[in-house]
Amino acid sequence: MSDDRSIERTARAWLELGPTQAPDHAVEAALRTIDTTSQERDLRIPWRLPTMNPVARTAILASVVIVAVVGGIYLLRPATQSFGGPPPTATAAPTSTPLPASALQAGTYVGPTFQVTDIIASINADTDLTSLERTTLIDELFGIKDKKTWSASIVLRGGQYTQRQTVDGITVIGSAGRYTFPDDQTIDLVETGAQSGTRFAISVVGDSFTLRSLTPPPTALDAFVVRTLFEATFTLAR
Amino acid sequence: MDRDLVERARKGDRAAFAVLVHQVSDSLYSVAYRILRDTGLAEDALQNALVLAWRRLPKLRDLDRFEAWIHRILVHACYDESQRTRSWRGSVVALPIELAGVTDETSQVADRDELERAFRWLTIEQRAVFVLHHYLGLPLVEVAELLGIPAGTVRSRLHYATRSLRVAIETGAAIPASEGRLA
Repeated sequence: MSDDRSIERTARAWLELGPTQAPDHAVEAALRTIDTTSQERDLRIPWRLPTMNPVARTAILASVVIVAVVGGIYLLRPATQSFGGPPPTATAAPTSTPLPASALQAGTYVGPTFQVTDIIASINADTDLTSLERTTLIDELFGIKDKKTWSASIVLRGGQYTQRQTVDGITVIGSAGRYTFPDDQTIDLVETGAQSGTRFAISVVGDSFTLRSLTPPPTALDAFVVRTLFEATFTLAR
Repeated sequence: MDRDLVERARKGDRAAFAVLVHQVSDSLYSVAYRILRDTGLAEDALQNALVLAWRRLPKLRDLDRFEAWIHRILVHACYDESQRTRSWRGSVVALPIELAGVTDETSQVADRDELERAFRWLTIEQRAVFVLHHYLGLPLVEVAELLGIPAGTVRSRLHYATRSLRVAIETGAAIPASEGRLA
C-alpha cells in the first residue's frame, strides 16, 4: 500500500467508520441554549459595501480620491495614538477648552493611522473573541489581511454621517446614517435602515472630537468593532 | 435545504431553526468527530457551532449557502476545541467502538490503527481539509470556498496530510507532518 491513491482509498474506508448520528442529548442541549440566546442583530454598521451598484461604486471611488488628497496631507503627520491603548482625551490640549458638540463643523474627520500588525495583535489578544470572530474581523470587517496600515474616518455633514476605513491608502469599507446631538456631550449614530443606534459621549476640542461608546455592545465582536472604529480622536482634515 | 426555513430562522423563528438543526446535525457531528477523533470534543464542537450559527444567522447574506456556512462555523468550532485540548493529542486513545465488531483481515485492522495514530499527528487544519474532501466528498475548490482559504492552501494541506498518512502506514509509526504539526 504505497501510492497515494491506495492510501486515499484506505483512508476513505477508515473515515466511513465511526458515528454518523448526532447524539440526541447534544442536539437537545444546544436547542435549550438557543432558547435562551438572542440573535445578534445584523451589524448596525455594515462596515463593508458588498453589493455596490456601478453608480455607487463611481461615487465612492470619487470620494476616495477626495479623501486621499485632502486626508492624505493630514495622514502624513505621524500618529501619536498607539492601537489598543486608551484614546487621547480631548482635554489634553492645554490651550483648548471643550466646546458643545453642536459646534462641530461639517467635514471629514480623520482618526489615527495604525499598523495592521498592531490591530491583529490586539484581535488575537482579545480572549473574548472566538477564532471565527477573529477571522471575521481580520478578513471581512476590517479587510486587513496582508495589509500594512489602517485608519478610520467619519464625514459629518447636515445630520448625515459616513464612516470609512482606509487600508493601505485605499478606502474600501464604509457605512452611513444619521447623527444627532441629544445634548452637548452626546452624539447618536443611527445607521440607515437600523431601528436603533449607538450612543457616544463626545468631547469636542478645537477641530477635533473624541468618542466613547455609551451603548453596551451585544457581543465581543461588536465591542471590538465599535472600539476600533469610533473610540478615537478624530481631527478635521483640511 | 429549505430556503424558507432558513429565512424564517434568520428572522428569529426558533422552531424553524430547530428543524434546520435536526436536518444538519448528523452531518455536522460526523464531520466534527472525524476531525477531532473524540466523541466528547465532537459534541462540544457541535453544540458550540449550533449556538453560534443561531446567533450569527441574521448576518447570513446568501440563504442558499446555509449548509456550507454552518459547516464553516463547525470547522472553526473544531479548531477552538483542539486549541482548548491540545494535550489530548499525546494521549492514548482507543479505536472507535465500531472497530470492535469489524472482522477485517489483521493487516487491515493494523492499517486502521496506524491511520488512527497517524491522523492525530496532522494539524487540525490538515485534518479538516482531509475530512471535507475525502469524507464529505467536496471538490478542493469547494473546500477552499467553505473554509475561506486559497485553493492552493487546500491542495498543500491535503498533500502533506496524505504524505504523512502514507509514511505512517508504510513505517508502522506515526510520523509528524513536516508542514507544521500542532504544538
